[in-house]
Amino acid sequence: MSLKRAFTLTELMISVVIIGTVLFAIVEAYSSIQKAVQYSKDRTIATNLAQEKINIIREKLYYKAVPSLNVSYLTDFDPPIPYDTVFFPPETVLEGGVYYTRYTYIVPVEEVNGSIVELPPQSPDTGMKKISVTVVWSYRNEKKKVSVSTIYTSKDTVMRNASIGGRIRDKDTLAPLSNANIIIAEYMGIVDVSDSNGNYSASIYPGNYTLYVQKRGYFPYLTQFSVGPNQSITKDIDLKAMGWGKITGVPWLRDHLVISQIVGSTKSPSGFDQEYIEIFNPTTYTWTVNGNIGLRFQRIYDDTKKNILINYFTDTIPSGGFYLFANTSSVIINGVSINADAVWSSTNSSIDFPYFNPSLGKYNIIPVFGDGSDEGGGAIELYRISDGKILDQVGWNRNDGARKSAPFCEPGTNCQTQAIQQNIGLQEGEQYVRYSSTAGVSSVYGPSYDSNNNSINFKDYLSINISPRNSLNSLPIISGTPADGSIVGCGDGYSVSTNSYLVGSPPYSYFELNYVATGTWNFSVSSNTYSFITDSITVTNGSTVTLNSFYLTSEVTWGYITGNITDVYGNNITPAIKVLSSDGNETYVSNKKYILMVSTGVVSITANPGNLNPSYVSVSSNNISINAGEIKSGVNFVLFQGARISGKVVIAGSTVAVPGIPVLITDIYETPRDNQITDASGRFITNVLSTGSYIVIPQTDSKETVTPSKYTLILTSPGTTVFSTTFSITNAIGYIAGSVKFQNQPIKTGVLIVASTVSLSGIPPNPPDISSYTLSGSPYYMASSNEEGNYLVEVRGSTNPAYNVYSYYPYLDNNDNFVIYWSSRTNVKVYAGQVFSNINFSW
Amino acid sequence: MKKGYTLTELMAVVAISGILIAVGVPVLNTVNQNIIMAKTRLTLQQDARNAMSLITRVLKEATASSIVITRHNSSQMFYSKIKFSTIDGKNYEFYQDGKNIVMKDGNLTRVLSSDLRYLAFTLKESSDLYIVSISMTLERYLFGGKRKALHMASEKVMVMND
Repeated sequence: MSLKRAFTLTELMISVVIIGTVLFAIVEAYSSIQKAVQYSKDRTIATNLAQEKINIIREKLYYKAVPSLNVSYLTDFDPPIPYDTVFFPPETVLEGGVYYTRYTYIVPVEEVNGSIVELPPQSPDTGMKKISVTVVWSYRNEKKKVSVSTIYTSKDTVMRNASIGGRIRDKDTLAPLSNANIIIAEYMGIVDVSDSNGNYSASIYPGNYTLYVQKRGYFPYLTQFSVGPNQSITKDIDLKAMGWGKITGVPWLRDHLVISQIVGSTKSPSGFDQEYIEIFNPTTYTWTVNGNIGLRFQRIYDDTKKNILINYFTDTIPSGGFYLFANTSSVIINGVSINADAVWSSTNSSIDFPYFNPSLGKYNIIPVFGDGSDEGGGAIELYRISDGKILDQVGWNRNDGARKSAPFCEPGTNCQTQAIQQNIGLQEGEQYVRYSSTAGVSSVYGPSYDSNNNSINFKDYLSINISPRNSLNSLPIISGTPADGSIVGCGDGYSVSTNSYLVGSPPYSYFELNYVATGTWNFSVSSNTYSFITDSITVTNGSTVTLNSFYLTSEVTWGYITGNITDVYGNNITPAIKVLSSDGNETYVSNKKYILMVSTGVVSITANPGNLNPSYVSVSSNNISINAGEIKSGVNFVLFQGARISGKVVIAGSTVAVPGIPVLITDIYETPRDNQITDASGRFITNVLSTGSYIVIPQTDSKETVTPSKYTLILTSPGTTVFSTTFSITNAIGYIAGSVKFQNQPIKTGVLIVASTVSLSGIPPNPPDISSYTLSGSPYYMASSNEEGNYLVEVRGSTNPAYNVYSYYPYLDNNDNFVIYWSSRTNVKVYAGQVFSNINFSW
Repeated sequence: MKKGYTLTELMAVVAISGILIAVGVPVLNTVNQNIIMAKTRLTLQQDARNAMSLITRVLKEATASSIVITRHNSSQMFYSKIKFSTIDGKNYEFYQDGKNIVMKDGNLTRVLSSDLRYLAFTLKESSDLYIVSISMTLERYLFGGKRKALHMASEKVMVMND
């Protein structure tokens, strides 16, 4: 009989571990499925919240949906999402245990050939606004968002039933000019571009406007006109050619140390097998080498780079200076002895470097063809020890054998350098020397040319032609790394930024900036974080300013926005107009021009913010994206002169101010020109409007009445504020707010709130059924408390009679039956536009 | 012949099992409760979403003049019932009946959820029947009434017809 073996303790324990692991995996998998389901639920709720916010705004009067003037950007997302911070500030909503934040952005839009185009926020009303709501929440420590947009159209949409047209010519030759931009300053947008015959035409809303015609190489032209409904006017314009020149140049980057010379084997007079690597510093600053800059070598047989251990003698390498690494403390070339600045440590590994073993009299890290065994290829890397950052790489091929490629760079792979092409690799007595410029090797200029392609950056000499140089030597610099794709901008206010591109072989980077106005300007060229900036480039008519080799060496983290700001006659404005960016930088216009330093990213620019110069309007341009070191030219504004209108809204029969009432200001053609909302003191003040006649119309809903219903006035003196009148309003909205608690805890399940001037009877007080029969008579206002245990009821302002507020809380008793707990408050006096808070209920 | 367990081994097994059970059972219990809790919350969210979308879809089609907001009987919450007819003449009711939320489509009634805690149909103003706010809370007690899962949903519906 054979006995079965029992489980051992170890087996038992293993099985417990296995079962445990499986159970754990199942629980994990289950919870990750739960999380995925949770995400889709969150998303649904977010979409509903966004939709709800849009409905809330659309419930309001069209003119209460004020375009967003004070804009911030949500930078967690790309592109950044703009949102309003004043009229519709971000709000946080708790639903289903998750906090959602709603961001709102309203912008005037118009329809152009069937597509919706966004306009600047101060544009005259077109009868159409785009409301965008973005809901953001955190899901597993990551920001998620849902955006919903809709178009809100006014019921009295203004028709573009007027038109302007004409022909654009050159003032001197009378030749028609095509591609001129036709701009209506008040719309701040291009309304048409002249065709090949110089003709243009545009449909516009009736009103008073400033026409602005712009073409590169010509002075801009400004004129004012007025057009009534169904009227067509013709404006033929001759533009005066502007003097302009161009700027060309060859920009270089000088941002890293380079390997400037490599010799693998050259015999000293005593027969010692010398090798050395020479480094050059093309940057504008001194680098510490001792302990900070290292070398690595990769042999053809190795898959990885091997660090070379180094003993440093010299600490630093100055700008334009050399540094010599060698396998001996002094290299003797052509009878001259040159001291090395650093030597290979005797502790270098003979496993990493088979030709290095001081005890056997072998001192070479870099093998050469003569060493046999297919040797001859290799690569050297210069790196920063602290963070491993690669500064430069040089590789050389041996193309005749099986081991032909330099290890760093197989052809067709994504590597930084293309190797030096060699038939049999590096030989004894051979040297590789870096070019001083695209013209090749020079003994009088620093070897600094680096297009990241070793095959066209180095010359090889079969005998030593250029002696090695050490820290006692330095040379002037005429090149660097071609600054390909750098952004070129001029602050003349007319030219349009361009990019540099590679030309020639070996390549250098080149740009040509055309149509630069004559004068002395700021000028910048930048590539990532390096820039060349000057404030004194002078361009004369018909000439070309040539910037032969220059260097992007200043480190910058900001950009510039420049442009022209004039009045409608094209003149400079005094006192000087302030220009403000959304990131808080500001400057003043000087002689029609401004240049504003801004942080990189997306910014908005406002000219004359807050009507600081009260005689002129304030104008903004949103969503300008800017890179480090970039000069964005041509962000121009035309500011028209004008005055402001103020006024006040009070409750009829009293002096009590009514906040939150929208006030519309139209011109005599009833084209809306401004839209304000009364502040806490019931007052409103418009932006600066151009002089002329206006109508002030407070906007009311169907239950409110206002006297007078409109008020007409004429603005004559720029810089003044004209008081229109005090409007009296009846039945305007106010609010009642409070919290609901049960045993001192916020009620999360919902409490019904009913407010009315009527007193309810019964226990609990019995609110009437609501139907079409209760449309007239004293109204009832209702709301449910939210998940945080708060409520807000909108009611018509009334103090006599005052409101009664009733609350009803369905309490679930132990037998699962509902019992209605209730409470009430009387004599709640609500003023229009104000919140009566702290009407709290607790049980 | 193989030997069986020694007494020491047996006692070690018993001791280890004992420790594992002592530690594992409460942990498993908590994990289990959390899973049930999360699952119930999701169910409630889904039920609320379904009921809400059903109500909003039909209510959008309502004629404002036919809307009546009341309660099903005197033991229900005020304004927990809405009656209306749609533009194509169909009659609907949605109401609270105890813990049930009931839909009446013509003469057919069906229960949308039996976890109802709160339901109210409110208007911003009794004279404006075109915008109806719905607030709905579902709640379910778990583990012998010791813990509860809760979901509150609210939505505004614009009634499209006069």
